[in-house]
Amino acid sequence: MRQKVMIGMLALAAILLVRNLYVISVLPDEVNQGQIFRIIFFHVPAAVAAMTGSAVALIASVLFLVKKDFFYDSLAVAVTEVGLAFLAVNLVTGSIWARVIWGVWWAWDPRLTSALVCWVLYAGYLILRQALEEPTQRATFAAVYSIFAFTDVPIVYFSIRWWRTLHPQPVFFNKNGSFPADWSAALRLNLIALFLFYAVLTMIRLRQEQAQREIDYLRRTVHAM
Amino acid sequence: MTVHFLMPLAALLQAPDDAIRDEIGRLQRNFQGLIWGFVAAWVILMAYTLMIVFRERKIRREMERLKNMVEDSGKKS
Amino acid sequence: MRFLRQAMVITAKDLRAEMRTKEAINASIAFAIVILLILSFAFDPSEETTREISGGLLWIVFTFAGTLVLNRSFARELPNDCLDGLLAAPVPGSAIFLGKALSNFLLILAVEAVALPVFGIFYNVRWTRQFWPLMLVQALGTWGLTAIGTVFSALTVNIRLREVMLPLLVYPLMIPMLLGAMLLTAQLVMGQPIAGDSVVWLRLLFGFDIIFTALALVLMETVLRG
Repeated sequence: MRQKVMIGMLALAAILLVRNLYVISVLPDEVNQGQIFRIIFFHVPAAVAAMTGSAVALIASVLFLVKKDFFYDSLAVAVTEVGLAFLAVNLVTGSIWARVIWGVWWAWDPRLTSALVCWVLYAGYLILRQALEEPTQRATFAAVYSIFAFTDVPIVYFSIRWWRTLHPQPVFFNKNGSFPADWSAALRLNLIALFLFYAVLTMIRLRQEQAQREIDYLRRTVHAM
Repeated sequence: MTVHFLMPLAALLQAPDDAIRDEIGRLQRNFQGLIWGFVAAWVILMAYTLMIVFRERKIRREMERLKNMVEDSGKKS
Repeated sequence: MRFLRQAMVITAKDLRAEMRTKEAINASIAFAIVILLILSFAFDPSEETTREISGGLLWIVFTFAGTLVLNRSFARELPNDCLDGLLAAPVPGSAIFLGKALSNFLLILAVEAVALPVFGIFYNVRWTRQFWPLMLVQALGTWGLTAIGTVFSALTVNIRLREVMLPLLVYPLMIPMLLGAMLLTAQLVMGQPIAGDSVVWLRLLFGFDIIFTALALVLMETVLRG
């Protein structure tokens, strides 16, 4: 049953994305920035999906610490790992956008910089997990780190925004020109499509994590015999 | 997309030569950037999906191996 | 009050142990001076430029040197099962956190107290124009470093590659605090008081410290239990 749900979601996501490719190509141009502005259809939804993922990771981490159920630990890893991929999409498309519009590969723009810091934080989460072998300790410590990381995220965002607006450097902040009205619907659909894709990847990864735990258990049983 | 690409070009027909060349160059770079952006987004997502697929295969193989080992030692004892 | 007394006992024990051997503080001060020396080769700036970069430079030095102290904090408990002894004590995890954090805080402040004059000498900068505001920023920033660093010192104590994992995990978390501290320090070293726009950074430091101290107090028990 669950398999069918996942395949259904995947198909829906694929359909939406392909349809959107067509829609995106037909929409009228944005005045200031030209064609490149269409990149926003991937750039923004990827970021929103990743941020939602990190919120889910926080909830999963807290629930693990409270209930000690390893399902929540697997959920936290899955959501965080997929989130890293989506944040990477956000960062790379943002960088390409910056190169076209501003001529530099990286501008210390508040949102991009915050996204980079989030990426580093969640990469740290995965590195911490690799360094810990004992499953309960790994899950517990990873959950603690995840809580710290999530608490930090809004603080990072505001601090970097203050840094960029209170101390203007000779770089640029207004990435968004006017947002054309008829783009909103397409953006929302792409958002839904990417959310669905995120959810499917998370579910698969979650199942893999639980399978991995079963493998470890089997391995211990076999060696005990 | 071609229609919208041609419209600004049409407006340039009245401008001097240098300005046209610059504008065409700008439009091309702009468009190229868009293509690269889309390519990058898809490549990253597909790469991650492939990573997951490979991991799935590895897990299945490991499970098979372990189940066989469990059965074997079950038969021996 | 019993809580505070328990924390003080732990602080006193740590400080006493440190003062007798002076291993962490000597290493940390030496490290700070070496970094200041190396960075002075990297720049050959005029005095005005030096004051502008002073904030970033100083806080890089403090963070790196502070990590030595933080690492030592729980690593010192490993031989002879001292960590088990500490865990077996009838003291809540939050008291252990507070005790250790206070002792780390004082040790890192001591390192900074040496590093600042050395900085003034090596780089020919008069940093004392806004002395008390600078001390306030030092205290707030150092407490942020200490609060997070102490929790993660306990977390990483048994991990392999502990010396690398601690900075790797802690530095990204501290980015907002470092941002505020660096900007305020640069401004204060240049002689400008904290006013107008900069007050927001002071508020950031306060908020950061309060939020993460609260989080640390709550989660320390979980970390100690492993």
